[in-house]
Amino acid sequence: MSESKMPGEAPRQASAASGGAEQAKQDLRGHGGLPWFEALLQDLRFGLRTLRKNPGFTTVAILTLALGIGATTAIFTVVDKVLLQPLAYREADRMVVLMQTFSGGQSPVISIPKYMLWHDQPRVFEESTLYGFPGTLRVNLLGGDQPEQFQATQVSADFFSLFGVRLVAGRAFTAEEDAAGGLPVVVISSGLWRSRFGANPHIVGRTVDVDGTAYNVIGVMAPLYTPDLPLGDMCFPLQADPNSSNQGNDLFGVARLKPGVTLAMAKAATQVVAEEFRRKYPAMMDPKGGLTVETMHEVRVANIRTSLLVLLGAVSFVLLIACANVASLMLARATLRKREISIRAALGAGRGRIVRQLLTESVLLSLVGGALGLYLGYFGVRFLLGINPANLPRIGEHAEAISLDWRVLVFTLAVAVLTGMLAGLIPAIKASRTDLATTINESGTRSGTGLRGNKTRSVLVVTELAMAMVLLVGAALLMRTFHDSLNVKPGFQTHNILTMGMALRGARFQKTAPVAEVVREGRQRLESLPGVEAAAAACCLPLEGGYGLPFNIEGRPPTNGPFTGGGSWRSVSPEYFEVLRISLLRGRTFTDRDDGAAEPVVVINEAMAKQFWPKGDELGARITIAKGVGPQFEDPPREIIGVVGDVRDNGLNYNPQPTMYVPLAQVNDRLTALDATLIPMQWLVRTRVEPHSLTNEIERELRTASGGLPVGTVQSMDQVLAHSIAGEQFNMTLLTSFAAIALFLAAIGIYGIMAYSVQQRTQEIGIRMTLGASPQDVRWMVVLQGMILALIGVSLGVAGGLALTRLMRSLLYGVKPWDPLAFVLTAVLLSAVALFACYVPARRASRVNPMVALRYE
Amino acid sequence: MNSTAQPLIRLEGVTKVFHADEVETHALSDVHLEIKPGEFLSIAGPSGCGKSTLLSILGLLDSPSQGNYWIHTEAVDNLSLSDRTRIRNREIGFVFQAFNLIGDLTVYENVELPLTYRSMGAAERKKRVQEVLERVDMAHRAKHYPSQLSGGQQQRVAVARALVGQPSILLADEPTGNLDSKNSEAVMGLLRQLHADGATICMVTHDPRYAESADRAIHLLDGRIVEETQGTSTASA
Repeated sequence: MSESKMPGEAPRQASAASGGAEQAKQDLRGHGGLPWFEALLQDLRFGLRTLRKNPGFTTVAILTLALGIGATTAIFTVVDKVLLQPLAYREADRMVVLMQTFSGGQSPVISIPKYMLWHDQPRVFEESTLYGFPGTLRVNLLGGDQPEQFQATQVSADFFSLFGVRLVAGRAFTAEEDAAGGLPVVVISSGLWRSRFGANPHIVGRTVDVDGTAYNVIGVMAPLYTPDLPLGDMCFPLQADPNSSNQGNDLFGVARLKPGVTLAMAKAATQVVAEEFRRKYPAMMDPKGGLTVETMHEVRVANIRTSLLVLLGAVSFVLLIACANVASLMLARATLRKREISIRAALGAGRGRIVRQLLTESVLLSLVGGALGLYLGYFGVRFLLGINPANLPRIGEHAEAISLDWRVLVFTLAVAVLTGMLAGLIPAIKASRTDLATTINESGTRSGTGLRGNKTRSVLVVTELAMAMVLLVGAALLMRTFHDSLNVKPGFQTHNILTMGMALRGARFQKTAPVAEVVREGRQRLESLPGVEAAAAACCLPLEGGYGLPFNIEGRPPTNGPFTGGGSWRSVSPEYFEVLRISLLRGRTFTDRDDGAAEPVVVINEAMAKQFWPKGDELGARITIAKGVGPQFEDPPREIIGVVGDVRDNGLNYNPQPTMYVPLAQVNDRLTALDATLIPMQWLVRTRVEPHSLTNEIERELRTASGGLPVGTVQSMDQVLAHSIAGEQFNMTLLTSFAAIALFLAAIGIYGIMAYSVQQRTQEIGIRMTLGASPQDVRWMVVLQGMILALIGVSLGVAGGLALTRLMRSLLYGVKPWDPLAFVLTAVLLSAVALFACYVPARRASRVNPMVALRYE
Repeated sequence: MNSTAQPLIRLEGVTKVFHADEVETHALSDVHLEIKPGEFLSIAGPSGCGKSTLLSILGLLDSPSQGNYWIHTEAVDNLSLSDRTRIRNREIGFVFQAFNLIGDLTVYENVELPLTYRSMGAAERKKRVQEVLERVDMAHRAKHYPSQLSGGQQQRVAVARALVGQPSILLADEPTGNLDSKNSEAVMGLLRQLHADGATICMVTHDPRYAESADRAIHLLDGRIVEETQGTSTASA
């Protein structure tokens, strides 16, 4: 017996002995199925064939997934660049920024005395640096055919080392060069080195004429452009006086924590510094304020985080809606494929195998959809940001930092696979539960079922509609915010004004008088141009912020530390109010007679008058601005000569603050010189024609008036206005786009389920019509069933919206998160779209021929 | 049955032609037919002879290509869709071979369905549904769904649904086609009883035994009435 063999056993053994692949397969089959790879290939082959055979279904599913994945990819590329990727500095995770805190917020701009007390803590900080606003300083490079204006930054000696800025030639500043009164040296950008100096290898050691001073070029920065470090084309040593008493907060202090030092430890150490500062300069710190530190990354992204997270949440909804839609489509198809699945099961396919087969198809769909979505999303967001960079940090001026890197690819791949699983899992599990005997022997005599038989699909559609409702409400709120922003009166007329910056720097402009003279000369020249109505100059443009300074009212005791109050400070030429058409409410504005020799005067805005002179007796009162803040700010008492209307200087969404306007010709010399180290002086020209059409003539006249100086950042006031609300517009555009996609997908979803339901119920509809149902009865029946789903979805969406729109509070202006109009209008819109989506299949249902329907199988 | 009474249904020269892929199919050709009130008529013939087409035209589910059709004295061959729907709802009751009950509705709701298209009050509907369910002996199953019933029970429910609107005529299309012999006999017994109670019935059937139960049987072949015979019911009467 032991030697006997079953028939066929010998050849099998022989084959196994020879290691035949076929035998291995057979063996593996015998142990529970095909080898996984072969099975996967088989699933893929069959999946591709099935999808090819159903081009309609495949196209709709792929496009739906492409929209969902594309939108997600688009936002992820931005979120990844702005929020997730580490800053492009050396060991950026250990970099902290010194912040001053005050009641109602905190700010990263600090003064030299604050930095000096803070940075010297060897147990906490490894190294530190102090620098000015990156790239806002404008300088004039002279010595060539034409003077050119360039962006620049003033930095202390440790800056290059701390930020890891590499030099391709020369060296960074020494401590001596960075000391107050140090030698004039400059480090230039690689771009400037190439464009202006033809990449001269001997550039180091040469001198360049900047604002009339010969600067020695000591280094060239590597061509490492990063939006995280927009230094401009030249870096100058800050040359801050460590003993300075200048309390002006106009610099950034950054340090790298020593290894092992936590942010909490640094905050505690900074708290000690704050108390020391308060003891040393009791008048210079807000009683409720202090000092703290934040990580560099946090400071860069804090303002944008909420809006990006809201957009990420919104896009997740879009993706889920797309998933629900595809799941719904696959459920419908699984019903049609019940017979095929039953036959597979009858032939021995286990549930797991059937689920895997169906999941393979859905993942295939989502991978193709993902590839298309990647294309749509990436190029879509590049296009959108190219048009409107939305004031987003870290992405560059034209979103050039938004790139298609491995992170985006991996993310999209992961989202595509997950989406495929999510969309395919429920249909696959349901399909695998098919009752074999019933399905295989199913006859056509059974009547179709309504939505009761489509519970899963109904739940999916209700969920889609609820999510679409939340998105629509969010979009409506942002649209209202944007609309309200556009309708906010800025306090001046923006049309037909051209603006441009001029850097009045160098030995010539160390005092106020020559600056005032250039302004007077320039104004006269400009006003003689045909098409120019009036011209003015100012320290800064409306809507772009400005300086804040404290003041004291003569005859009143201080109420806020040593001051009576604080407000925005702006130096302007006499025609400023006329150019901007800011209304004069009381008294007068400035004239040419309000010069350096005249009695010091000031014009205040209505907000300041109301707050400090509620009885309207402000004219004739005298205020002293920035008393004790530092020698640069020393200012004589000024008489209030006029009250003008409020201007939203800090942006349309910020209420006007108390504002003091002083004549540009009366600013003290040191403040004029300080001003020139921060931002360029701004020209404002009101024209009778399209403002940009006069750009060349205006530039020419200003060049002549200033002795050859160029202008930069030429933009109309309408452009300044648009830029100030670019963030709101970006949020609104994106959320509205996502809401529109969601609405479209939800409409397809409800249309799909109703069309499928009608198809399944053709026989039932035929019976009803045979029994006396009129076409209107049938239409009403289908529409009613669809609208019940829609209204449940809308109701859940309203509840979800009330819960979720609170998270958007910081993005809203002039509208409450529970704004009834937004909720009602979006509910009506969604219901109307759902009604239309139901009506189309309902109309088809009402045209069912009862005879055909009764024969329908 | 009163042989001199005004016909309930009258067809004159009814022709039905179907066009498909440039092929003309004459489903019915020059059919003349009268059905008197209270009459039990059976229509027999081989597959494709036009039985179902004739029943569709009689049931206002389809319209003739040519010819005239009256119900009572009202010409119905040229009515609008909504008028045909209204008349179908009030004058005609249908019983199908495949029962055609709606799976999502209970027995009660299925039977109530034709009344819901008449804007009838709920109390009146309830009264009628209960009456008709008792008549077909299905009142005890009112809350069941069709899937919970046997084929014979489903067809009794379908008959109840056809009767609930108190139609002038009951059109039955192979009512025993999906039933075993026992259930078939029960359903035919029910139809005979209804006929005995005065109902007008027009039944399509393949089965010669049941065709002979009718007062009169017409035989169709290639869309024409080729023979008309008197059934046993008349003979016995």
